[in-house]
Amino acid sequence: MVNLNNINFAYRRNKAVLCNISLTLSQGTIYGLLGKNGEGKTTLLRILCGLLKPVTGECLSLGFTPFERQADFLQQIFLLPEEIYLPDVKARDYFDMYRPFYPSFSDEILRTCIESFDVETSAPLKSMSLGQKKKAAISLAMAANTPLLLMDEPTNGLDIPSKSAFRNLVASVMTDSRTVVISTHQVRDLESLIDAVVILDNHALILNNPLNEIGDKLIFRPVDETDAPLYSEPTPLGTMGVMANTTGEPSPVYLELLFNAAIRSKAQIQNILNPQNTLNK
Amino acid sequence: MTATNQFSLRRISLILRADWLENRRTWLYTAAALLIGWVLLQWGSFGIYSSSKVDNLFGLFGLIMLINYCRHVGRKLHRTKGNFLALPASNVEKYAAIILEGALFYLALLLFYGLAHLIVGLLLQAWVRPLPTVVGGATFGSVVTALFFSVLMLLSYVSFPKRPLLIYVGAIGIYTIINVCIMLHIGWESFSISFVTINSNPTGVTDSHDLAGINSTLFDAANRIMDASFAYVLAAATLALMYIIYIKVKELEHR
Repeated sequence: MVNLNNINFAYRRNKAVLCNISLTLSQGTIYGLLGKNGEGKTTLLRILCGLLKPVTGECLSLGFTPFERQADFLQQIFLLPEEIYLPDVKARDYFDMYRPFYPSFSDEILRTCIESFDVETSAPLKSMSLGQKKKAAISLAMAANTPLLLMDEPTNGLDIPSKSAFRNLVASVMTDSRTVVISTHQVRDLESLIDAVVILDNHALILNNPLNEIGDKLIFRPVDETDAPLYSEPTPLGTMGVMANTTGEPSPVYLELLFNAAIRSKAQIQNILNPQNTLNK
Repeated sequence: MTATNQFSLRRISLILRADWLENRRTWLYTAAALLIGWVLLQWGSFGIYSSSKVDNLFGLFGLIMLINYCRHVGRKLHRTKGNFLALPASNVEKYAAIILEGALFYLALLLFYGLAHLIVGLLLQAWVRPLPTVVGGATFGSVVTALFFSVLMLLSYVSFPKRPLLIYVGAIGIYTIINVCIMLHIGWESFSISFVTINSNPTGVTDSHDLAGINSTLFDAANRIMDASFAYVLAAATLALMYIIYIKVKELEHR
């Protein structure tokens, strides 16, 4: 579906934003793209949809070179940016404007999204609050029904019920032929939604693994003095830690803990999750 | 690599439709204001009706429409979070939609002209010329010149989000200076040659007139050649500017 090979990108010379990113995204998977602010999450999404050209490296999305921005390619991807510009029209007209551009547009998904988010289609978009605007934009993104859906911080500005509705909607529109990439720094919004996690740190890719594989190899649980966790942090429920899973029992993955562990104990986590890559290095 | 179709009339029409849905209210209000203004100006000064006045009014409203069109294009291209450049269509299709929109603006100008004169004609029960001389009696040269300056303004709005009109005026200034310099240079050269010819010819007879009595000094010849080729040079320059605009549109998409 998407193949990135040794991608390097910099907006200015000597100030790299992405370094040697090699990544494969497969169909039927929801990816959570995590990273601290300024690590290059948005840049990576913009490269995937061809708005930016990598300085070096090869990028193939859906068999196309994204930077060529061919119409057939653009009809198969949808990028929902973090800050959205919405035209001064009614929500209904907004959907009408973009519906014919996407051959796989689904009116049924649009109806479901409108109902779940409670979008008022007869209201002008300009008069809506940030959250309502975001819901209208998310509805269009989902209904476009493109094989590759990229969302940059989609839950910013959404209230708590809408975040939950968002998770349900993303899960319900997923098919085996679709790939969804959700970039966020609010990891809790993605809990119980994503299938795989991609983490960027220091402008490099430090982790790209399915959650079930992570749960098989790492264990997330409260720790005491006798344990030697790879990473631990105090929580209101006691100290939670990440350790190598030696029991063989799959463990539920705590994204926030995984994210912090991956950044603070990079080498050990990589060593456990991707021993082959570590050996190659 | 997947085979692709880079040009589809359907997609161009969809881009135009999306633009219409987004801007129809503003455009309709502007159109109504322009039409009322035109009718009032035409009607109010009908007593001093002259062909130059009709032409001037056409030029004035043409300029207003042109500025509006260029501003609209500039705004949608420079809106960083805008949707126009993100639309699933190729660069060529987006560019074609921009140019087509320009043609539609021009058609709207002709429509306003016709409507304004029809209304004024009905109000005053008088015959009004169907087309101003700038349209009806347009030559290739005048059409190319109008196109060149229109495309130059579009380029200014596409390239410079800040103060495009000022930059456009500056560009016209530079264009005028270059033209004056060329004319002065040709004038000086022809003067020098004539001076040398007269001084080296003791009879004082010059070949400044041919057998038919037409001026044939070097200056006149250069003038005639320039006149004949000027329109073609300007047409080539217009095409070059249009290509630059296409490159700019392509470049702006990759921000």
